Amino acid sequence: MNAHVPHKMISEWLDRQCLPGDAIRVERHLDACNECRSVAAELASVNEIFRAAEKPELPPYLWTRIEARLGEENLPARAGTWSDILLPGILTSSRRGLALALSAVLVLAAGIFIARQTFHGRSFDLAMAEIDRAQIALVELHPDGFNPFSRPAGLETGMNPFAVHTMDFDSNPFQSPPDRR
Amino acid sequence: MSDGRPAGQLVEYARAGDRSAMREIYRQFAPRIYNFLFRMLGSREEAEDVTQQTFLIALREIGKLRDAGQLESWIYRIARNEVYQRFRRKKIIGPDSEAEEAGKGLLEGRPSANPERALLNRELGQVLRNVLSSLPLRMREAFVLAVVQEMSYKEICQVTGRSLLAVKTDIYRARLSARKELAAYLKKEQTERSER
Repeated sequence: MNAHVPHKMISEWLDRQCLPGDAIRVERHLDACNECRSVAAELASVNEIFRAAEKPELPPYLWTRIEARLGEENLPARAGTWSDILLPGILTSSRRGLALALSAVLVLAAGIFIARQTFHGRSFDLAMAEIDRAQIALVELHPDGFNPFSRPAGLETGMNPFAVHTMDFDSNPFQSPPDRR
Repeated sequence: MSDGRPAGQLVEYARAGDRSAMREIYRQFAPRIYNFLFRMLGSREEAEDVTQQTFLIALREIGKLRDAGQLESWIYRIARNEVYQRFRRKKIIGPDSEAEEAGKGLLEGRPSANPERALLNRELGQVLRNVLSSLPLRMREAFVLAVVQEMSYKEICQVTGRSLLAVKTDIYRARLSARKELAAYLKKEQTERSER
């Protein structure tokens, strides 16, 4: 008769965890050996008793308790994200990166637009201030303190203050002085 | 059984806070985890508490799970850690007499219509409880996972973090011990039957 197979191997065979070669060896040996067959039967009965034991039923209220605790701990409690509702199955993890990249580009574009607007407004203010300074300097240069930029009397507001309606040479600061020889 | 969503998708949705995905994970795995904990702890009340704790941790920490395919063994690992922590606390505080009392009868299930059967169940339940409680914790978990939960040895290694050789040895030794304890019970039962 063959040498006995180790009982540990019989235990593995009962759990269907033997290597295929070992399983064949155990089965052949059990066919021929009463002693090992008896050991295998006893070990198998242990399995049967435990597996036949009534399984405890999961208490039906347990999930409610868990859910309540999750709520208390402020875990995100959504029936589904907006993308699950609007795009079921579309926004998978592979596409999530693309969505993030698009969001980043949009934020960047919005930032550039706002910066440009701010810069434009600031440039305009600077230019106007420069013009004001030049006007004041010109007025101060005139010996009589004549302000060519002041609006003529009766000129309506909103009209172009630089438009010259009636201007004689004497009041024109840009004309060369007449020859007084 | 399942709502049709694969584990990967369930995990992804649960990570995003989808409560229905969390519920589905619980529905799929809780019955087996509860049974495992019941066999490990020997008490319904304790098994209930630890099942609750296990799923709270799992659902809270699901973002840390790297491979969604490992969801089940990951939940088992959490459950197992909770069992070990409980036993460590018991060692410090002392045995929980209430839980011991509640644990009497591992087979106590729904009230049986057959009183004789119920009695046998209770008696056998006590025997199974004695068998399991007599085993060292690591041997008990390997035995329960292999025999009651019918897990492969490879899965048991993943859950327990022990080597295949250690797992095989523990299961074999636990099986020998259970055979010894149950042989006495079966012999007694046979004698009682023949006397009737």
